[in-house]
Amino acid sequence: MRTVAMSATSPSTEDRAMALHRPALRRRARRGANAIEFALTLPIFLALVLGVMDYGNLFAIQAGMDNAVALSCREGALQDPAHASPIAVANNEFASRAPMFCGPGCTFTVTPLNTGEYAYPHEALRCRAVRSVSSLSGYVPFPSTVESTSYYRLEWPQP
Amino acid sequence: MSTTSSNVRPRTGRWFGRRGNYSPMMGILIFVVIGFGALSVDVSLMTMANLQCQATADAAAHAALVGFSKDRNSGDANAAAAFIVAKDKVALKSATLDQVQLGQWTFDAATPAFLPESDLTKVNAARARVSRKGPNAVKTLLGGVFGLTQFDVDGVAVAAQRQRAIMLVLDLSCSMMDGDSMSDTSPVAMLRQASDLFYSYVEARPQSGDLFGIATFAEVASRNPDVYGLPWGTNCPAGSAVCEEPWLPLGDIGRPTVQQRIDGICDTAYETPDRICGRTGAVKVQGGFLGDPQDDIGTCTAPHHALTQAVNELLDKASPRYYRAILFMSDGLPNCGSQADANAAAFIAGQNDITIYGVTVSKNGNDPDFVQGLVDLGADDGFNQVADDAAALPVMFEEVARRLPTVFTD
Repeated sequence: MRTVAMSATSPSTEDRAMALHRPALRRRARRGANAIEFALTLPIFLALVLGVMDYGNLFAIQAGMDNAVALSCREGALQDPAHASPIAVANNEFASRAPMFCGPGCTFTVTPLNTGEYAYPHEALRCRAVRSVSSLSGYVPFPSTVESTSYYRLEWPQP
Repeated sequence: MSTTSSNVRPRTGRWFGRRGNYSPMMGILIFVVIGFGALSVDVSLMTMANLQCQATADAAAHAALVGFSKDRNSGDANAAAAFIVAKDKVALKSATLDQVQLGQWTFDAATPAFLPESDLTKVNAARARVSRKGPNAVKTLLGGVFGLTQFDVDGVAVAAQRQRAIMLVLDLSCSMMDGDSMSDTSPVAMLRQASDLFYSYVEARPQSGDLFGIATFAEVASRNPDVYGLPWGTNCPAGSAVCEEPWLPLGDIGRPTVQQRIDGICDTAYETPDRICGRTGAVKVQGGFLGDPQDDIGTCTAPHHALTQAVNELLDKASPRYYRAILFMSDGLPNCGSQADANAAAFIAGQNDITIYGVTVSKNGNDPDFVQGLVDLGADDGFNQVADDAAALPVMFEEVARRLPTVFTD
């Protein structure tokens, strides 16, 4: 009797194997496996989804800045310095476009280049915008700044 | 009974037996997820690289045309484009300048086109092709999942200089003669100064084949002194001011001729006691030009003659491939002319894509709406400027000159 009683509370290996074929016990034995596997795969999944979001945003910012910088540089390069400064014209043009792509902390510099390798006939206007960016999720490696540079041939001789 | 219902799923069924299968499922799905992720990131990269390549092509075409325009040398065009392409980056690396072509851009609104042109005297446009291909192709970030490790980008752009055909239409009615005409601040003196500045601006930005002309008016339009007395056109009523050539006919003319005509506005060398440029005391009021008694164009304001002259000149001598514009300057309402005729001329201008820029001096409370109406009837890019004092004329003329097209990029 005692032996039987012991057997009921401490089943042998065979008994446990037999018991696992019973649905209720098998369910109890696997409880938690889902959570563990989910926890293991979630970081990979999140990295992918949030990475797509972050890098999509980064490319959108980069494309917008490239466009604004190139158009501003072009406006400045077309300007006859005898009538208005190409730098001022480029700055004004960029200021009208900046709010969308270049928020606080954004810097825009315009430099007429006409010495050294840029001496006639290669006078050019260099426009460069830099802004800080941060990851939306903070979950993936991300650059801290976005930079866009454009060179445009100056249409008019510089003083 | 209820256990046989289809609504009750046996707890030992297939769903409960497969709990804990995240790993194999994720192992399979991860490739799908990574694939979509790679697609998203690399499509964004491709878009950005294409935009940068197009921007570089724009800059290269512009540089080629500016380089060419200096000495009309094709070698300069290539060198200028190559230099800019080397400086601009496409996805962090320099692109390759594949081709620079010189040619003609047809400014035909319906079918704009670039046509290669070997005769350098006829060139008004440059086309640049820029790319990153082959060994210089742009590398993907995650596209390796699909076996796509790099992709090509290219861009083509045309920069063109558009010849301009510009007519100045200037009011020389008696109110423009207020005060001493030789004074720097008299309206007519300011008008001379403004016209000179305007032409200087156009002259400093030459587009091969630019056309320029001046029409002036008071009670009638002034006539070209070179063909004085000769009718212009075949259907003109005898003596019609409209049908005679304007003060300076539209043409590819140089500074000496333009200067002579601008200086000829109220040239005091021809003043006599009863013909004086300006109105002082009881002296006869005159508008315009004093070289010959028959140049007397009256005193009141009738702009429609000169405006019609200007429109006719532009339609006859400048094809639609020109940027055609009229700078219309007046200081008041037409008090002896037909507003309807002026509006009709402006309407025809608008129908032919001729832009009208208005410059209005409204010192005595004259209504600028008339000039605004002419501007509105012209092509879409015109605008009207209003000032209380003729001293603002040079600034307003310069503002128009600054808006004239030089190089555009397609």
